[in-house]
Amino acid sequence: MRADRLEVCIVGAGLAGSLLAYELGRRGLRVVVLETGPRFDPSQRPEVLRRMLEDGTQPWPPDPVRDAYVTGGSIAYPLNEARVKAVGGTTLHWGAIARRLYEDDFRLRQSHGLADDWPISYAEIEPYYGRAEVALGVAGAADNPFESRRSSGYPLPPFPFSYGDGLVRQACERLGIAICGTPCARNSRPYQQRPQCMAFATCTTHRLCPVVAMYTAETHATLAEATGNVTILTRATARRLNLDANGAVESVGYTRADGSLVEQPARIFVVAAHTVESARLLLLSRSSRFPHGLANGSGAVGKHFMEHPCVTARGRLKQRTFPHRIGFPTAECHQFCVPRDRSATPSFKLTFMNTAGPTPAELAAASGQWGGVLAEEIRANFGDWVEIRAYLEQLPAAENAVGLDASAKDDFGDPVTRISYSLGDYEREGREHAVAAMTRILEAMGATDVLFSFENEVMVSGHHLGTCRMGDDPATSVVDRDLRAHEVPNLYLTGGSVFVSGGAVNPSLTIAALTLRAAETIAAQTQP
Amino acid sequence: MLASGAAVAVAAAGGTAWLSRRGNRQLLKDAIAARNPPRELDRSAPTGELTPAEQSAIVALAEVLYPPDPGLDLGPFVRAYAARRCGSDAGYLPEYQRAARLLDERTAASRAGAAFADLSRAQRDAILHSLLWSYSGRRFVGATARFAEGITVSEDALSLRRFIMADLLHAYYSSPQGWAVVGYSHCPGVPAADPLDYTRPVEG
Repeated sequence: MRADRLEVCIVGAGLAGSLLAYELGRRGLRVVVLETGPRFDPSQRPEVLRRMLEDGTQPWPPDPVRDAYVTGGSIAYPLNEARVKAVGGTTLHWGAIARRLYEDDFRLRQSHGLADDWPISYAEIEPYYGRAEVALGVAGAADNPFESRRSSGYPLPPFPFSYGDGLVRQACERLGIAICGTPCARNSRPYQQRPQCMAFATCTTHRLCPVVAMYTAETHATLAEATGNVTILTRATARRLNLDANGAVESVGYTRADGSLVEQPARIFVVAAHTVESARLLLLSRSSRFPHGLANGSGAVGKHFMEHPCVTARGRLKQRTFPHRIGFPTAECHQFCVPRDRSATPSFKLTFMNTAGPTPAELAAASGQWGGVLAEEIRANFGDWVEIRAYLEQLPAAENAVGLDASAKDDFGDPVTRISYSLGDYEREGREHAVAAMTRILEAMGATDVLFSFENEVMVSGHHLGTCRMGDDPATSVVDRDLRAHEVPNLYLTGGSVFVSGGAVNPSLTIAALTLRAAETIAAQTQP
Repeated sequence: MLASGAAVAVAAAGGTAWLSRRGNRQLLKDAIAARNPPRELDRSAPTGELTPAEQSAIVALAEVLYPPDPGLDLGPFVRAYAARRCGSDAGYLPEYQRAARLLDERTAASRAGAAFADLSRAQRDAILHSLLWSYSGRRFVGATARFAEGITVSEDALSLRRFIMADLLHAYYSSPQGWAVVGYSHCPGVPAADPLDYTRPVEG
């Protein structure tokens, strides 16, 4: 079956895909979005949360066949822990932290002799950061003394520090370590027809806000459809990008839930299918012109996968911190994000968790008591924990890669993803620096029973980056500064896949800013 | 591992023996080897409803597990929870049934035919102590006692601990009443009366 030809076809209805669809739709372009997952009903969130709290039922579990993958490298990367295939994508369960990268992050090679520079500067993306903050509804304050220049303020007032953050701040002040608020795409007052955060305290621990005070890309999916120009098709799995005789993409072949195959022609194609699936789709789209995968003359497709590996430290204080009353962190430390010489001191960010220590239910599960004795034990052991999490910058490495593995097949018979992942010297060095910084803070707080995540245990942030990186050189990158594939004139990519490096901060705001910038380019390309 | 140096009573295959510093490793290995791995939930089992007698036994169990003044109407809470569990999550119905049967059988053996639900709270507590170890959640002590319990009590008692007691305790301590035990007036899943409540200490 062949569908009508439209102006733009977007693969993926997550943050990048939905935001782009809205931006193009409001400009009058006719757009179709192909989403492999379902569409969840936001009105059902309270019931979904109830089930999750009661028995741990996952609200958007991976499909064991559709999302099958194999691992390589020294670490079995837990790919499915941190991605959601649905309208809204991974924003359905993100932490909503919305930070800008630093000016320094865009020029690691120039400033530190590390990795590669982005083809664009912070100054070029800065206006789009401001627009992205408005689009997502970011609550924050300009209180980070290390932040790069901003030309606009946050659209929403910040969330104040938690009680426990106040204890951290006192210790950090004694050490000369600056802490600041955590900007997040979460409503500190009603915004975008969504209510103010009511402190359900489930957004980090349960990855779900029952009243959708936390932004999800469902917002822009809905806005996109409201333009009247955008159609979002769910359970529509893009499997191949097909070329015409001139080397341009002619159509996307996708499979519907009923198993039928559809060819979707369009003038412009945008792959925004999350970092891993975007690379996989290009690799699956081999042809005589591109025998190693579409737009992969450089061999860079799938390469340079990055994360923000984490290390956590926690300890007990002699006083209560009263955790678990709000579901997200309200304080961070960026003092170590932009070191003067990253080759000597890797970059990392510290986040102070408001979910430190076990809950009453977790204390009950760990105990062998019951009745009043158990209740006393819980009272005695609850609420005096402090927890710090370090997010480490990971440098791009070619061997950290996404590829295809024909030894296993997905539900359509296509080779599954093979993800190879290891940590390098830079990340291990960063871990040591982070542990030292966290130790200083915990010692200043008088913490006891200090525990670190184990040396050989990798905590992943779920920030999937790289695999189709930007660059000016077609020999070493997949897309250009405008996110257009070097080798395919009507193919764009957007999302975490195009990152050249990842810094140490959460990537979603940068994904949104890059997408807003790409929307202008794409809209201009469609002009007669 | 069991704590070195401590003498621990182990009901191993064939009877009870005292383990001391020396010569206990093989006996311990034999005891572990003699046990089957802990039973898993049978996800192929049908879902369904508990009988009124089974429900009464489970409510009576919850009364022992929860604090003396749990802050809620315990009967409806537990009945509704168990009904949802047994009615929608495969594997739980047979475990709840087995737990009710175990409690009644142990009661009948010690109290001349009475049902578990007919006992006083103190008597039910004693029945539970006769089936399981009681230990704190402290890291070393808890882990050691948990291990020892695992090789000394019956498979049904272990399943009672693992599936039913854990389930009922999780249900309670995840509820607003359970969080009230630590002084919280709201908890994850329940909105705060004041969204800025988290910026202040909890009184009391």
